[in-house]
Amino acid sequence: MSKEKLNRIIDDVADAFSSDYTSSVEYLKSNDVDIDTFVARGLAELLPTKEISSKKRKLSKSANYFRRVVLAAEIANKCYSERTFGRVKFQKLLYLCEQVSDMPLQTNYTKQAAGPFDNKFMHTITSEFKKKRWFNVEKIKDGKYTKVNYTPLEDIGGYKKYYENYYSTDNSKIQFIISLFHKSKTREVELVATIYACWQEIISKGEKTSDELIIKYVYDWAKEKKKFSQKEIINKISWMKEKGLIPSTKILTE
Amino acid sequence: MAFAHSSLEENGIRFKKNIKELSYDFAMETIRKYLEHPEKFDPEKNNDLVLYLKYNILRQLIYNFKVKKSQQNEILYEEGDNTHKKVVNYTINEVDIHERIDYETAIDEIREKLSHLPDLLDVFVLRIIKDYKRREVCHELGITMPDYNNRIRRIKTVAKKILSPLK
Repeated sequence: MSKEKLNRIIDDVADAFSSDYTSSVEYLKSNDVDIDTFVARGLAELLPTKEISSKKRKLSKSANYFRRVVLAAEIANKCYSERTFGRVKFQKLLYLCEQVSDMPLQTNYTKQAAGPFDNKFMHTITSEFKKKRWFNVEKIKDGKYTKVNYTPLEDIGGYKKYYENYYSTDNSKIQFIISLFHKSKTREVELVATIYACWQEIISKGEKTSDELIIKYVYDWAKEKKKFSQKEIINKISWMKEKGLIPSTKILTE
Repeated sequence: MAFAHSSLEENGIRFKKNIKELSYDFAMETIRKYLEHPEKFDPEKNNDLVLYLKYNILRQLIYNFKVKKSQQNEILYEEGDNTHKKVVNYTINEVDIHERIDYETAIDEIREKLSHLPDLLDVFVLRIIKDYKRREVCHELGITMPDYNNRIRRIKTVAKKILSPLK
């Protein structure tokens, strides 16, 4: 067997272990490589300039608020016709879109039973939408449940020029989030948002990320999180990694 | 990172830096090289960016690294002794694995080990001895690429003990 044939085996083995995400992770784990730690480190190495530019562009309170309303309008406009789109799903989508956006939005997310929730902002969004004639927001009975419906009003197009102005560079990421969860049920979006927030908190504390630690953080979030089994959380973490929905070093609350 | 780690692990060379860190460095270097010239990636030729990174950048980086490492070694013959090779001046206890393996013996040993595993032996013979391409092996055996990869991983377990004289 020549050197060439030896290299062929080595290359084939390397290809076999890295042929897909699951094989790669299993191989690295079996060699005691904590891939999450390396991914977080890599992202921090590659993205530091973004963090610096974000700090420089700190917005005034009113400008910040309006940008968030515009983002919320885009989400509502893309999702209002979906049966699964209600208040909770809306909140979680807004959270995820804000996380992936490079806009230096000041938020006030806290840990509530259904995941990260900005109480103050969500309470004002209804009146803001109505005031601008972008959406009507009303509660309707849907079987045995009460659902919040968002119905476009005559000035719905009014937010778009602002959205294009503020979010042109982030648009692809935002649309990715919206399309990813367009048909998803609230439960799924709630779990992803909670995992994302926990994961981000772990990274910001400099702790070593692992599935077990994320699970612990999820269960510590609120007793209601026990409705998600460990297997469900692990599967969702794997799914998030496949989709590239991995937090950076932004913190949960500011 | 998995590709880099496996390539470096199988080389049998000991490195000063931990293999985990080294494979991370290679992965990061691959991404940096891509980001320096993203226009070199042509999605119309191949729209899989990961494959591009692995085969167009990462593999080359590792090959260059291995060549450089092997060139750091000097191999001298002891005077009057034509039956031995003495490796001197290697910087970090490196020994080129290729100089330590009797290839014919190795191939016989692997075949022997695989003789009671016909599904693995078939792949080994076609790919390594008969020089079939991977797709040709899959076609000949009527298996999928994931099946092929699975069998290669199993062959690695057998071949590792034979190809790792330093371990």
